[in-house]
Amino acid sequence: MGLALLSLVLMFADSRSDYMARVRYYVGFVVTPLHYVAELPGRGLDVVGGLFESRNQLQRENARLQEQLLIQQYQLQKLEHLTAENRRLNELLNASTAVKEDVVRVEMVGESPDPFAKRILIGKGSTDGVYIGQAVFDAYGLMGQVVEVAPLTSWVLLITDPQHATPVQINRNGMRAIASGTRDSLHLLNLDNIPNTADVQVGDELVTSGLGERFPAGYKVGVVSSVTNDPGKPFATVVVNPTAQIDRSRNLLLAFDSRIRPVVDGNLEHGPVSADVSPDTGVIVGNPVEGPNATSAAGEPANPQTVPTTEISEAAGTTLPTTPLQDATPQTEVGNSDATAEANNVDEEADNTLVPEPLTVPADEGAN
Amino acid sequence: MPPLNGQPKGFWVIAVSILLAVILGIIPLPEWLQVWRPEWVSLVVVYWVIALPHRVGLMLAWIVGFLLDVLEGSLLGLNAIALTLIAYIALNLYQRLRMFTPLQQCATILMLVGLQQLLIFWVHTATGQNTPRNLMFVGSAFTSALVWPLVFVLLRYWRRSLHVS
Repeated sequence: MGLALLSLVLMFADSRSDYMARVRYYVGFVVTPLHYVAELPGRGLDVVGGLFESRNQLQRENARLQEQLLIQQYQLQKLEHLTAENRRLNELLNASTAVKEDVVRVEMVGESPDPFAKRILIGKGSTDGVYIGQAVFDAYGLMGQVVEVAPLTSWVLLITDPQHATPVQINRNGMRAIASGTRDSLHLLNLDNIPNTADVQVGDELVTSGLGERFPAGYKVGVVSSVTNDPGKPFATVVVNPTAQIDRSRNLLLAFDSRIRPVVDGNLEHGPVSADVSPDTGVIVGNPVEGPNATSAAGEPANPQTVPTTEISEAAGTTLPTTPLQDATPQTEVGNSDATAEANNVDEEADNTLVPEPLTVPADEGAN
Repeated sequence: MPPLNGQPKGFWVIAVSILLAVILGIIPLPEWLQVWRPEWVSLVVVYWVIALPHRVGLMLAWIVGFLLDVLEGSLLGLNAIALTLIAYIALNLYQRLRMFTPLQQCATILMLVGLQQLLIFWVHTATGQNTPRNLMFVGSAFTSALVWPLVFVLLRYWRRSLHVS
């Protein structure tokens, strides 16, 4: 009886507060090595499979990779040019928040044994500087964010989990929306509260909008796969296919956002955002992904994402709010669709819009 | 419950079997198989409760469940209460369970693991986590019942050959 009571208290404390994070952290230190043990058989199979890979196969793969590298380097040149141009334009607008992001490769070590929880475990933890809220990508798009940090591993909540909502915007017309996960085992996203008359088409690309201060702006999230206008429902049903290979990728990228870490290089030449930026100055102005997409659409089947290769200086014109005061403006300005979406995702948004929060997290973890 | 170290002999056998079950429980599986993954930890805990009710009880079940919660990143205390619940039922039924035919034992395991899954399902729903729309969440109860004879025979053989009592 006492045990049951204790469990109930624990469950309540865990779902309502962050207090239990400490307990998890220290117990996790002891038990997480088990995940590595559980991973061993699969890893062993990979190794054995690698032994028997034929020379022919390797050569073919090598050729394919080299071709891919060539294409991506070409796209990178274009990207650098676009980034510079973007920065200049943003300077003209006096609206630049040039952010330099570092990415670190990280391997997935496991996933939640609960078949309905869309969470994965990655092989870096607080000792590597991972912090809660950190964005996780694969080579094709946004995967999720870190929700729990242990010393050597961290849990990542995937963007397709129903508890997760991602602030996105449509690449084509800059319309903002919230993409939330779905309640089944499929890896799909829904756009919340999209009016039946909104300009959303099948095939539209969605990128992170950078609103909410959680994800860097301009990274691919998904492609609209169906739009259903049911007259009986107040909003359209918009289904989005995530571009990230959510159930297949093993090699992931952790984005370290320099906004919440001390900047070492001289990238702050543009200074902080001036407070009088009107919220709609650059909704689609700065979009580093746009360039490479346009070029790759022409022909190559290769992966158009150039993100992983280097750090990308991203001149986000997407009204990145720097103060809570400013943050309020773009949201009220969005119009009814997003205003209601915001209301629906109060938890997520409230969590995200707290600007000082990301500042405190790494400091806190570092102290231990 | 009497403390576990009252009879130190063979404690490591119980610990190792539970550890193996935990590892089997988190080995990555293809997505379609995950729903059918047997609840190895529950089976092993139930076995030890039936075999050594004077040594293995609710406290051990709770601790194992708690570690499982941390390991799986689930709500803290959820697996703990679910495991404690089925250990409690098994503890009340152990004399009858020992007399049951294998088929009857399997049916009991089906009920126990089904109950455990149902409890977890409830809490998941109550806390707004992802839950299946259909009855797939009891899938693991069926596979658990299927593999129970294997677990039972293996653990009994192990226990007897190492004289754990």
